[in-house]
Amino acid sequence: MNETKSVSSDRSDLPWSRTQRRLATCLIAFHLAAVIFAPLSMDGAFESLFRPFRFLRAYATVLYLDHGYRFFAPDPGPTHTIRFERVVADGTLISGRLPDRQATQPRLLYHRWFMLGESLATEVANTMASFAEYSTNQQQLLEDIAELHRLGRSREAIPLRAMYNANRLDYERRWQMTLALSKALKEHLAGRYPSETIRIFSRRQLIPRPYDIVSGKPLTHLDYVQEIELTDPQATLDAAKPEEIASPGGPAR
Amino acid sequence: MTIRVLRPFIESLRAGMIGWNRFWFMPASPNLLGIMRILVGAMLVYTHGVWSLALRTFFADEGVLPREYARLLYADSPGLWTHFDWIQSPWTMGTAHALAIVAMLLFTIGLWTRVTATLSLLFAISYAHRASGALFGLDQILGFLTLYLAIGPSGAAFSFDQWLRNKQAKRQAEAPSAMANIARRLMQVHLCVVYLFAGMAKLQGGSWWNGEAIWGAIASADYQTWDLTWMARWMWLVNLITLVALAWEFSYPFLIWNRHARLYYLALAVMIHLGIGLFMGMMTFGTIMIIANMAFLPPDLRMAGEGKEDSRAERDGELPNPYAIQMDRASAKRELAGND
Repeated sequence: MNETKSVSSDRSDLPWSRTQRRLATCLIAFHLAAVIFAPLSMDGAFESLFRPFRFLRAYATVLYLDHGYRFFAPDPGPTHTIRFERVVADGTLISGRLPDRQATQPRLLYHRWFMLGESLATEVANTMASFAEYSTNQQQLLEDIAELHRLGRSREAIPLRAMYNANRLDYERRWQMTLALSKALKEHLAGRYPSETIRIFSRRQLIPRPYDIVSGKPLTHLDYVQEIELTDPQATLDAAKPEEIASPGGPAR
Repeated sequence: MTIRVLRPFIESLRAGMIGWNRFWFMPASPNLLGIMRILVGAMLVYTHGVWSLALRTFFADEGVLPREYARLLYADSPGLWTHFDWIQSPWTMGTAHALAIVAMLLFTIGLWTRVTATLSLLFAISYAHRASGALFGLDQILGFLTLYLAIGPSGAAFSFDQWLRNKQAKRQAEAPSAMANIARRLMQVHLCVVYLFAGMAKLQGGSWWNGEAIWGAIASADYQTWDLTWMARWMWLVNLITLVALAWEFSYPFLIWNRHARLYYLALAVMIHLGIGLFMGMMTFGTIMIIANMAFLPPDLRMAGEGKEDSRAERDGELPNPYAIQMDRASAKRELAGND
């Protein structure tokens, strides 16, 4: 009699039925899989392993959970903001910063502009840095494809062609992102500050060495500043772009 | 014979299932969720209130963030959505923005919480999707906290909803529920995932290994709000803070579950995030991280040792409630025998 009562009380230990708990367990497991999948699969990591689980990424995106959580990582490094110079009708040169430490208030709004500067710099720097790597990789793929054709092993060239096309798509996407962000900023500044001319710069603030500070050099010294001009973003990107790679004679098919 | 060999594995599997059920489904008080709802709601109101100062600059087509940028950024992942795709005129954008802030205000005070929590979540995600390029950690943490507060009964305590219900039914307190526990557990596990990946990513950086990472943070002219560069003369202190911060973050996902270590980990969390807020000018980020850490407080907000009747489960965060009974050896055996 006692035994029966105890069993009954065990069942009431948890408020839901076994079926409800099993259903909830499946939902929780699915959700947590997506939460963990997002940072694990950032930037195409574990691509081959995770390809069948791409639906988890879509779920995470819908709920805005697809993040890498790489705060201050791998290193707290240089920061990036935006600087612009404009010449007004009477010929006066006015320089501005986005964000402006004094004028951009509250601090959260300062951080929004700051993050925009970071995004722009990251896109521009990544795109420009990737030109050389992209060019080398694609050239190698072309040579491998040509070699396989020469040896009569055309079937083996198929995945290489797919890789060539995927690289090209990714490269073009990155290029378009950089251009879209730069152009929008340029048009916004031109619309907001009517000027004769306007020049835009991505401003990189370097981290000084401790002994520089000990020797009395201020954080704001111009030695710690580097700038890339983005007045004409298309021209900036074009200038860094390598020569166009010839079509591999079929990879696009 | 085979069954005998497998028996320990089967039993440990069943014990694991019992542990899983208790971890997720043991009813918990909604008090903690109620307090977190107020804090997270206030942060939602503030962050979206700040967007008001530059709404068209960041969200209109003629602004600094082209829609094409977010679309290309998420090109490999379907699921990007935002209500800004359908509203662009100043009037409709302003009206929708006002509605979002009203929903977040109502969520904060806990009025019609089920509806306003869902609306707040949808608005928060929608704004984040549209503003890709101007976001940072604050938005990520705020997003998942809002999600779990919308899932759990966050309006069941410290809310107008509760006040109205009590007035009608003359009840004093909301009963503990499994959903309150699930919401709290999801916050805890998600926060551990955040710290785990943040810690692992730092291990790729040279400055975290040579002990100078914190120097990179305090000597950043764009972040700095409080001059700590005098530490250049005290690099051993920079090294020590770097080491403590890294060790704390990396071990947090594992040791925060230990009830003896929990208090120290939470105290360090408050100090580190307060430091980020005060010295790097990221008070919103620091604050939301401290709020997220509150998920590890007892769900009824009673401190350990308060009341001698507290069981171990209570000290771990569970509550005395109509369902919760001590899992003694006999009942565990019965569960092992197939009751669950």
